[in-house]
Amino acid sequence: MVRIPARAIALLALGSGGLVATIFLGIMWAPDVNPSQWRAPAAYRIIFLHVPFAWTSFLAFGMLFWGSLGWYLRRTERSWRLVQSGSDLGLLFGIGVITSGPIWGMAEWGVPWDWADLRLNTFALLTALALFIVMARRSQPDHDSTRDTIAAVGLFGFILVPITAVATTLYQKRHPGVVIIESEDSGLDPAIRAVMMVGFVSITLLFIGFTIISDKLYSAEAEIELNLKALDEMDGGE
Amino acid sequence: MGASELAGETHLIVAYVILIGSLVVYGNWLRSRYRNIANSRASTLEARTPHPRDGED
Repeated sequence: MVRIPARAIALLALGSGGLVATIFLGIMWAPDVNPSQWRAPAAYRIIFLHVPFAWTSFLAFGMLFWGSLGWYLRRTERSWRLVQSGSDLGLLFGIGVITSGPIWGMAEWGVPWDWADLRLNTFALLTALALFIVMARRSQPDHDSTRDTIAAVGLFGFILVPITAVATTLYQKRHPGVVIIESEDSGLDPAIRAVMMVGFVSITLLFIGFTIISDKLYSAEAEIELNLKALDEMDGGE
Repeated sequence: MGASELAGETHLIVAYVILIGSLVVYGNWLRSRYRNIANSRASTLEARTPHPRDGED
């Protein structure tokens, strides 16, 4: 019987609690923005989950890259499991970002997407890459050659991560660099930054918990696959 | 709270529901895989163990 580590369950419980706290603080404690400067002031609170989702998706894409690199260098099952969990979680958090972002864009800009904005489009490509890897893993036979192809996509696709991260600094078209409201120093209100950090810590805890569980499940599934293969060979040999 | 301050509230609710919903869906998917593994282990074990009545005929 596969055992889910107690620490993974504890991380999920802590992360869920933190998520509830983030939403509560984001709605009840974080300051309002100036309604005269924003078209949809209430919708700005989407950032309390949107931004932590985006940061966490980079952790997932980093894991995918690390796994792809490991598969190329050492061809270990552990590296391949990182590719599996990294692509699943990259897709999960990536979809969260590319759905919540356009919802905010629809409210604030009046349009959900801007095809001329670098960050929006590179991030969408990253999510499409995770989708491709998840679908390829599920539709192709699990051979070393398939894993090589998928790992190559994971390796070269990672170049989109730094491009996406610096996109608003290098080439800001529409996506905000930082959320700007009235403040002397950075432009980001300390209360808003604090809630975003609570959100990031909470979603990172969920990410780590999910990763531990996903790794255990992929490991157990691979073991079952081996056992079934051995049984088939026994049956064939009788 | 004025009407303009409430603008975008529906968008906020929809976005939060989608974000939290996606985490719940993923968690449920992990749970269903866990159950499948538990069942597969049992069936693999069953396949390895001969039934007591096998060979009676």
